[in-house]
Amino acid sequence: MLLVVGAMLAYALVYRKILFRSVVESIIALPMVLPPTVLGFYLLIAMGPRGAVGNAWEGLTGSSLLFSFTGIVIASIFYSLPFAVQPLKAAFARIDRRILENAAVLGLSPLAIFVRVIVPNSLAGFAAAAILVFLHTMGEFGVILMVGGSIPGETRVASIAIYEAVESLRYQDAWIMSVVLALISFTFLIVVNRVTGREGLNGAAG
Amino acid sequence: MVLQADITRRLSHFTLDVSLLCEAGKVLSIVGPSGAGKTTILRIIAGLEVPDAGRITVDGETWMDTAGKVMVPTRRRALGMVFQEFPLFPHLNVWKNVCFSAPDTALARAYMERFGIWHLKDSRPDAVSGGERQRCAICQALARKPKVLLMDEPFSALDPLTRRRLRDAVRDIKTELNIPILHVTHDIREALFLGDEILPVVNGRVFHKWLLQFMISAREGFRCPDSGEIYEDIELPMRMKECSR
Repeated sequence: MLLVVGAMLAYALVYRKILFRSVVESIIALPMVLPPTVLGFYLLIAMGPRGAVGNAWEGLTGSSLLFSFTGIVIASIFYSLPFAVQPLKAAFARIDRRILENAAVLGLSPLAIFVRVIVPNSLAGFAAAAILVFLHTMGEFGVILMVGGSIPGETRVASIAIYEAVESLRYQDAWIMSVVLALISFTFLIVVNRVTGREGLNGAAG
Repeated sequence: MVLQADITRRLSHFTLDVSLLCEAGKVLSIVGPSGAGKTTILRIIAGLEVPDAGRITVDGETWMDTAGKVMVPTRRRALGMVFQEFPLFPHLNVWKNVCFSAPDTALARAYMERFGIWHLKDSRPDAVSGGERQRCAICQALARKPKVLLMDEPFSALDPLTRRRLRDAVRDIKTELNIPILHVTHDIREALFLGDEILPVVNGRVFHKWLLQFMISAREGFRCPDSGEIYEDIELPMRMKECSR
């Protein structure tokens, strides 16, 4: 879901003329620099029963968004969006515009060009975006704490579990979870670097 | 089938103002120095750029008319375009490239056999030579049965031998295709060889008075119509620019 939203935004940023591009880009990048608790606070307000989003959701489903799994998924989308948009933007921008013009000349609609030409030529970008988003979401703490709390089996994520383990002096649990998280992140980052690195070599040869 | 275009567009250094007409089965060679606006003409006909004013009709069908506010998008203009750098799709093999928007794969195959690239059908575009890629690009453009073929410096990036062979191949196929072909080049000899008609364009305007000079220049060097000086063929593009001022 995040990738789809990210791809649409990246497409718009790279290929469309949009008003206030720098403003839009800054808003998307904002979660990268903002303390997670600030973003979490905004989301808490928006998704709360008195916020527009939370209100609409309650009207539709009858349950609250806050402190639910759906709630933290939506929060994660905002939080991790820049990590999806950046690699996709880079990948899209690398595609030769003449290829896209050729596709238009050959009779493809913009959507068909996206599906048949842009996506297959930016698979590495999609892979990088997917992994980065996964890792970033996995390492999320502040936003989830604000929006989701820590309900076992519902909204307790690994990073919060570690925090609680430390707080209650269960160091061994904290160790195990931390090592597992670090290993997973490390492995995936190696994959990202290999994927994007190979892409770079291809670009130089072609 | 007739292609008719009247185009006006302000560019950074001059105003492009060209009228042209090309009949089916004929090649109209637009020749001129680099930066004369030749490529822009093709891009406007393809709908990749928008002119300030003008009208383009193909066989009675209006593709663009600024007065009547008609603007058919590129994808609905039945045209084939061959670019200078043959931008094939890198993620597809040669066969899939040629068939990319071909309604009839038998026709695609026939063109590939005709241009001698059928044996490369499973290769990736980056694994074949420049000449082969350009053949592939020509097949790709023709396989969708265009009503107009636009060629933008199609042979410039090729070595002389390949260039000559490909030029021959295009000349051989033109009557059979029976569509208007616009061919843009800075090489006067190529224009004389391929073009049934030649449109000299310098700084965005058509200079018919130069046509004879073009013919002569291919043999003897170029005589500037104003100063009478003669220039060698090799430095012609730059000289043409100077003389047009």
